Amino acid sequence: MKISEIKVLICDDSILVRKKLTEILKGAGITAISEAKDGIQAVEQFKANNPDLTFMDIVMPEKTGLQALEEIKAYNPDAKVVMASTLGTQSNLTDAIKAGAFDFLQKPVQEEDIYKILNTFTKE
Amino acid sequence: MFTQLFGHYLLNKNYITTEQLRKALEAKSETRVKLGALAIDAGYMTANQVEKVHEEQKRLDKRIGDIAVGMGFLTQSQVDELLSKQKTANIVIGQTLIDLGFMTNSQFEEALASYKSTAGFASEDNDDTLAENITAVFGLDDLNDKDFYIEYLLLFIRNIVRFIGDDFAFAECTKNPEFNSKYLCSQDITGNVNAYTAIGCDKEAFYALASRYAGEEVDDDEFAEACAGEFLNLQNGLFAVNVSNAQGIELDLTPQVSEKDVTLNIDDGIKVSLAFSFGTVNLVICKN
Repeated sequence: MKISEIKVLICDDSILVRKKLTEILKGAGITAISEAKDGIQAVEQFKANNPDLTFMDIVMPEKTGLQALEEIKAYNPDAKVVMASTLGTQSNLTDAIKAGAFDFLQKPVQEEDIYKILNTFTKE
Repeated sequence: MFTQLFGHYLLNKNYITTEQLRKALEAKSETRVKLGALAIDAGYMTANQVEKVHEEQKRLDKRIGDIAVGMGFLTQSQVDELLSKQKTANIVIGQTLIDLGFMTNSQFEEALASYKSTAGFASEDNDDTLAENITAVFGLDDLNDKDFYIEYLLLFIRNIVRFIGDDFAFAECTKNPEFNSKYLCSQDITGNVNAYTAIGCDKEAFYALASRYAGEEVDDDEFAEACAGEFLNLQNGLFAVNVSNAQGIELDLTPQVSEKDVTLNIDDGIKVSLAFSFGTVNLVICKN
């Protein structure tokens, strides 16, 4: 799959992070981008749009990113979900991996990290 | 960090007014620290000797360093050492105040000597020294959980410098204050350590803080709250990682909350105010 063909879902309660991520993804040529601003919306949007790649904040209102990840993986075990957080502690990394996360993104979001993830995804 | 603490000290000891400090912070980025101020800071020259060199320079078409060497005040190796510090000099606030006419070289020398002797101040190249100096300047010695507050503050200062800017001075640190804030974003740290953290400002300062963090214009409340909240989230995330790495303690964070016109009655905590050129940024930390 080419990078420009990837369908992406961004789940983050911060409009700043959603905006920054969208800018970087558009810069990479991705146009199919949907957004969710809490854990409940994240699951709903995933089921509605069936994205190829999902960026999921861990600390979110209503439902945490890890809870949303578990529901998404139960719905679609092949879902590729990148967990994102400023809280890059060992337990969060372990929890994310155990729950089936595709990758872990340490905030603040850096362009080169997103490109690495996109490149890894296209080689899968 | 010397710039910020020294600015706070000058303000507290009434060497300068808040307005003068604000003007100096605005002008600081344009200031190039001169050899005389560096020589006073290093203890190589007195203010009187610097004045003599400046007087001499009015008659001679020579560089300050050459004149100081010629008059026997400095050696060439001392000049070279001082010049190498010029670009990274952290006494820029003092130089700016001198340039603006708010202080003389003599007042700068006196204030600097007094500041350095207050708590055995030395260069603040490492966190241990900076922590000692912050503790002394803010009088944090009698705080319960002092180490927690110092560690949090050190990280906050580093993040402020990294993501917002270094054009600030410590305006004040108050314990258990009542605090009213027009714009406030807060976040709880939970787990083995529980703490309430918040950043509060008036609208102008809140928008400016948000704009600097985002690196773009901020012109509505929702975006300003998101940016300021994300900065606080970044601070707390990194703090949690540091604590996890150093002490093996796992911490969690709650989602950030944004509020307006809030009055906080801080029972067991501190408020640290940073005076930026754009206004005052207040950090509240309460460890439960």
